[in-house]
Amino acid sequence: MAPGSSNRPLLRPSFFRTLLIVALAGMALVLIDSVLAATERRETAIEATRSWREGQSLMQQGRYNDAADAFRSAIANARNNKEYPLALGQALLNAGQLDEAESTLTDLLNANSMAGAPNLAMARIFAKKAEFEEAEFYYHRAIYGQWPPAPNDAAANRIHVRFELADLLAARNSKAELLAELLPLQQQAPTDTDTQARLARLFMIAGAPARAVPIFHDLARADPRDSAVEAGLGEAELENGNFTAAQTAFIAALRLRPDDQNARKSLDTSEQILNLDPLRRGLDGQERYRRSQHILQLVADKAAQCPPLGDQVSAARVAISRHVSPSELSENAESTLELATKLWQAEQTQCPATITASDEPLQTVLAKAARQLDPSR
Amino acid sequence: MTPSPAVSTSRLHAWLEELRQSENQLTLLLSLVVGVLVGLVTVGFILVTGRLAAHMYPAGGSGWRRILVPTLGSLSTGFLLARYFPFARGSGIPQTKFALVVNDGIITFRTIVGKLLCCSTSLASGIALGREGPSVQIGAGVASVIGRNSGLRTEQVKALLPVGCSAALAAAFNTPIAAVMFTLEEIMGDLHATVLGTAVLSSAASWMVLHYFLGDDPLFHVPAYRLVHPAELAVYAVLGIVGGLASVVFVKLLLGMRARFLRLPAKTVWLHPVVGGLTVGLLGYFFPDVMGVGYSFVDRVLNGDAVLKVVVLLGILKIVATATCYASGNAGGIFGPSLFIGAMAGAATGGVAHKLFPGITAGPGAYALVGMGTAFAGIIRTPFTSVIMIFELTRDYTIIVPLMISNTIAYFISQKLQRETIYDALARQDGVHLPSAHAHGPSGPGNVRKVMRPATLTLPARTTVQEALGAVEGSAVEAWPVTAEQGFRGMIRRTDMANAIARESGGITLAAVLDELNGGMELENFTHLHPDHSLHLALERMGSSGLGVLPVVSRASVRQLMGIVVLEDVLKAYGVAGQTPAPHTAEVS
Repeated sequence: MAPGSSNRPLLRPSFFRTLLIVALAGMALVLIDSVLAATERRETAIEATRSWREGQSLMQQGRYNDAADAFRSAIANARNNKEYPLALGQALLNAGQLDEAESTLTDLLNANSMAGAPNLAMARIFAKKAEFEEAEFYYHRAIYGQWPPAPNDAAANRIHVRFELADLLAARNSKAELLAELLPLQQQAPTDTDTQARLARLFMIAGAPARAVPIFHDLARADPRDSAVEAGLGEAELENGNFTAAQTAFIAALRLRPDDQNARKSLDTSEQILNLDPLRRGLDGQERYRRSQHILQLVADKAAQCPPLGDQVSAARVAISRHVSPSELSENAESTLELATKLWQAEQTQCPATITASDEPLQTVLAKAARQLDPSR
Repeated sequence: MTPSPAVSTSRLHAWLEELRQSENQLTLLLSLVVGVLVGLVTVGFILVTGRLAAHMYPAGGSGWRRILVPTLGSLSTGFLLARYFPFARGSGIPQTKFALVVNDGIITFRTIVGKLLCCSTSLASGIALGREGPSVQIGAGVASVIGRNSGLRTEQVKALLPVGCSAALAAAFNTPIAAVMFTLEEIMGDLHATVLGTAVLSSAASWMVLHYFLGDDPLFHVPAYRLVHPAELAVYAVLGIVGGLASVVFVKLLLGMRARFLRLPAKTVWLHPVVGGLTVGLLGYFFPDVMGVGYSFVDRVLNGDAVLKVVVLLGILKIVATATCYASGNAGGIFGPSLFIGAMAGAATGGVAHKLFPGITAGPGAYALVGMGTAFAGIIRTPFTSVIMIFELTRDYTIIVPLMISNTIAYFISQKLQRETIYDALARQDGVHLPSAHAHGPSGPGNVRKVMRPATLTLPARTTVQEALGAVEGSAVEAWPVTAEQGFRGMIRRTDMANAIARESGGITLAAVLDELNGGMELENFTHLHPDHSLHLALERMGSSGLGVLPVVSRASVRQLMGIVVLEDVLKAYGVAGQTPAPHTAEVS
């Protein structure tokens, strides 16, 4: 017979008394533990908030490592708060501790992969690491991610992130990707002067000055006394090949701000271009041909410094010295300009070092000529 | 239709009577009750310690506080431990094993109160010890008090102790599975122990209590680590070596320091903990992360915030601080510090490896994680528990294989360089011989208790050799126990006495002969057996000592002679013996 199956009572009556005492002790402990747990929750929440504020203050002072320590302390006291790990990630990012920042933010993103702010911070980490594909990936997740309604609304955050991505692409001279980001921005961005001017400048970097021009025009209409807008308009028109309009804009900018050296320099450039440009409207055939000849002369002189182009330079010089009848002026102006364009392109390829900043007017005119002679470009 | 109150009362009485009659149901009910109650006590212990610590070290507090608070804390607990709660000293694991193996499962209510009070004070004051070991003793104590006051038999009370241990560890570490494993592996010394079911039940109940009050938050928050390259396993093997060596250094330092403290005069015992408090205070003044159990710093290291110089320095300082705190008699355990030491050893190893082989190794955080388990396996010597525990602490499965490799190596090194486990060695320093897994040995034909004879012929130590030889005349055995006022002194053989007469004279006392034979060796190291030792071990010890008769002594004190074991009786139990000599009944008075 098993011991437990005996009819002998296993227990004394003290068992029931003990059970009663245990039950009472249990209830007392539940009460005590509840009070202690509530106290702990309250005190740790206070401590976490204090640490977080200290961290924010240290961030503003630029003491990012100390701020990270404060944020870690805040996290230890309030594990469920998602704001603290994000702040830690940003502090670590600013402190240059990129691997740790990535690790911290990865945890946040594991919890919610579409959270906007962690994705943005992650994008910044990869941008700092020069891992641009990853950075773009996280920027896009941030753009299409979730953002809290405060302090900014979600749309404002998304625009801000897209601008940041656009700046990154501009810095990398990724024109096509940049243009892809700017087109939606043009629809969504606020209409304030700074934002629109920033957008217009980014369009110019993206190689789309035609989109920048109307923006600057709108801004100039809204505030005709803004010299920076006039200067920006001048740059856009210059880039767009509208040298006369550019000249007008630069003059306006200098009238509003005479000490603007950049505008003055750009005005000089535009005037040089206007004097060089054989495709300028209103020129007669004689003048158009003369300008074409002059341009070919300039290009040949520069190309003479590039030995591999000896044959082409000789051909150019032959073309320059050739006599042309008045009836052939127009046709010859075009062929001369085409020759100059080809020689310039060859020089750019063979001897790029020979081309300097002072050649900008010539380069601009030749670029315009190349576009007009070959519309597919 | 709702039953009347009289019917309900009658049904309740019937159910209670049925419960009284059924041991299985009773065991399950008590396991549940113990689990819940121990969970509540442990949660309270954690919260009280945490709040006390927060108030002792407020944010922006002066650096001097780090010296003053642990010194005063250890002074106050030193007095309480010496004056009121002598059994609440130290970790609690050896004390629990002592209660289970030797003391009929008795842990007093006073010890529980003392443990709670002293540990809360010392841990909150920044003493570099952990809360988990003490929780185990508290849990076992709660189970013991409930069991004894319920009128259970001694065996039933003893069966309830592991249930309390399991519940306590589940709540203290937030590791319900590892708690059961530890109870079986370390407390019971048997992974197949019959208490498995009840231990699981109490562990689950306690863990649910913890969750109810403190939520579902792991002790450490670890990023997802993975094995970067198969070659990385070699680095984890190196970590096993580093962790094993660090474990041995820690254990030897702790035991060596404790042996020195134990030699100091008994009247100074209340002052000993101050040495630990002052040491940790001075170290903490310069390196605050050395203080307390240090889990927050471990969490940072696990997340990769590990500067090589800092983790090496903190690992070394923690070994010194914890060894001093424990050896000097402060209340607190070594579980937590083991994890800290392991995490630092791991982060240091991982940091070096990552600098040398950045392409094929993970960051230091992954190694810190594995290092925790490695040091736990090396120091506590519970390899299964350490693997499960790290998994439960971190909830990260991917690092388990490197952890197993590293653990095994650390365990092997630790076992080679420090044969006795730390808890057995600590108990031995207190004169208690706890059973090891080896002592239980293969089942064979039984244990020593089965063949033990009463020591009917004992020789007083003051007896002369000449008198003793006369007294043993006609005895069939070849050696006899010698006793003195303080208890058992050792065994003396006829040849030992004959040699003494040849060298000196018959007037020499047995005490002098034993002193000469032992050559100043501690009595505790004399060959002996305990009643629960296997006959296999008895044969082994007889063979290695060349003695055909061995004394059987109590585990509580080797000076308490319980009987003798004779070779012939052991062989007979194996079924290969001839005649058993008749016991000699004469006694020299």
